[in-house]
Amino acid sequence: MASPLKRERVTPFIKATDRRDSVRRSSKLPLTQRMFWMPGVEGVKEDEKAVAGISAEIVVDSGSLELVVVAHPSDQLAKELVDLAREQKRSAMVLDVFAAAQLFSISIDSAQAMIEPDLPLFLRVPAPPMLRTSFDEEFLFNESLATLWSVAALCKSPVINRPTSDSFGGRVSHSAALTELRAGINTTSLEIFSSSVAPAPVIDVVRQWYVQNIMTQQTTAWPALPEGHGPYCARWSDPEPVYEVVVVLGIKAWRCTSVELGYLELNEQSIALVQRLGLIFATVTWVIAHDLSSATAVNIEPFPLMEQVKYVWPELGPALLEELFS
Amino acid sequence: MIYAIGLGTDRTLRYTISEAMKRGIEVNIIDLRAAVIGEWRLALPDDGGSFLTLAGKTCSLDPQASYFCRIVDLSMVQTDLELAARWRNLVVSLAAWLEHIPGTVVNRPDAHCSNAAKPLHEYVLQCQGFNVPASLTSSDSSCLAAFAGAGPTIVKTVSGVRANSRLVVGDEFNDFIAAQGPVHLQRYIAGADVRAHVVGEDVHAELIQSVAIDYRNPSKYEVVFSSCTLPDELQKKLVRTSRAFQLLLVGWDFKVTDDGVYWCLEANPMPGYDWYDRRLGYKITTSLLDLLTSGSISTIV
Repeated sequence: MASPLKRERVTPFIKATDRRDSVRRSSKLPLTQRMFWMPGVEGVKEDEKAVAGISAEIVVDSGSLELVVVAHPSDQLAKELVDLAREQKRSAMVLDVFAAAQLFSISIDSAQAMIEPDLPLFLRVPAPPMLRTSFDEEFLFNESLATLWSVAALCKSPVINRPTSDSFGGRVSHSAALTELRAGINTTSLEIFSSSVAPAPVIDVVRQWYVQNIMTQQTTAWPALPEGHGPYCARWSDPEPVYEVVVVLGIKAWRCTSVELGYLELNEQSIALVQRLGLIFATVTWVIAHDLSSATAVNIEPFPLMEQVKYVWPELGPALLEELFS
Repeated sequence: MIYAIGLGTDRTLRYTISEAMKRGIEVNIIDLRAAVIGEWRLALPDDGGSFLTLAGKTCSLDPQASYFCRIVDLSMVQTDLELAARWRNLVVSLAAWLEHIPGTVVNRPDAHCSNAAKPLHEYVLQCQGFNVPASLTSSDSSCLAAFAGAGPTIVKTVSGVRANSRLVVGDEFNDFIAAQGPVHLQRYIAGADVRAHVVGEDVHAELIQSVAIDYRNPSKYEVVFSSCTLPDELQKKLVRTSRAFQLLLVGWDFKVTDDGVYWCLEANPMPGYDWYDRRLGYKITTSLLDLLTSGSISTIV
């Protein structure tokens, strides 16, 4: 059963009636920004990304297990989902990459793949640390990730954002511009990756040039400069962006605000974008024009944090379990 | 003019550059170790202003040109976090840039990456119609012991990390604990090795005869190399599958039994082809440089 304290702490954020009544205003650079080549969970602190060598201490009774969430122990969304599953009398666990990989056996023969145990999976694999802690640990991480990639791609049970032979985490790229091309969006905004701050390429009175220090994730509106030494990423966006976030799960979608924007068909468009990127679960962030007449997708996140989905969690949580136990 | 991107210490990259220059082909050499301490600007969509600086010299990146890539990310082996971040960002940004340009890229960084997950890779190859030896990936000692006990078995890495393969027997897993896993076992096929390099439509194969388990490792056993021609149907399948994987250069590994059955072991998307090429009369290089200088391969986004 879930801890009463945890539920009490989380509940105020996730009531449907707590949905914000206005679109969000933020100076955050609207980019799909991924620091790691491996799919990882954005926003997790660097020390939390460190690989925890705790596998040997975890005792997993795979015989009774009904759901595995592969995530860092601090991943709030993973914990909430497992709590919810347990409330439904389902046996579920959050496992790190090592413990999860050691749980499964994969037999490949004559174009037949057999995964044992064949369990529903929700992959939220943390990125590896920026610096190698040891050769052995890096090797074991790669071996474990390769095993999980194969398990999730080949098992018969439902998998949220099932990997393919071409990618572990859908067709979402480090580059927002490339992601847009792959999602079928006609990219109009230049994106520049650079070692030094890239100044605005032209004078544009309509759009604002934003610069992000990729190390610190700090974003500033040019000509203001983010602190630190870079490297940097820069892109055009609205000078005073307002956002709507849509959470997509399969053919379901939920907007995170209750602003009347139905005519923009953001849910339908978000579902289509997510499908084109080979995903079933993601958040799509839209920049809304000031007169609310149009919207532009600026960020697709296949590993959203609890913070990003909390407004729709009362619907999303049960829907995730429904998908996983379908 | 072509571009060659990778580590200046990479034997295969140096070989390709050297062979290109011998044939009068101008090569823009991008050593990532030099690039990472220089300046760079990579624009998507390309605006004509993408560049890297190498030892103070600016190297413009032409999106219409051809690129031979052996990109390796050394961020994790740095000791300085800032330098690691520069490595990581340069490599992933460059990979994204190479994915979207219209020029010929051998190979695009995202193309068929399942080689890094061997069970999945073997399944995909089987689904493409290749004979692939049965395998088991597990951390369960009894399962591993049973598989190894049922026939000749070889142990390999699960991921794409290069390691020496060797034979194992069931008893070796008596003291095995799950925390030592996962382990990837594959049924061993006795026979000669065949290495076939597919470059676009061309196939260049070499037969390798040895009793060594892994002929690439120095050993007391004699290794005999000879060029060979694969059965026509197999050649067509290799070209077709390489194209389906969106790979322009692939190193295919096979075992061929005495009765002529070909067993596919893997398709390597970044093959160290130079070792084979020297013995094959530089045919792989010729095909590769023809491909890079013809500039006829369109973009794959």
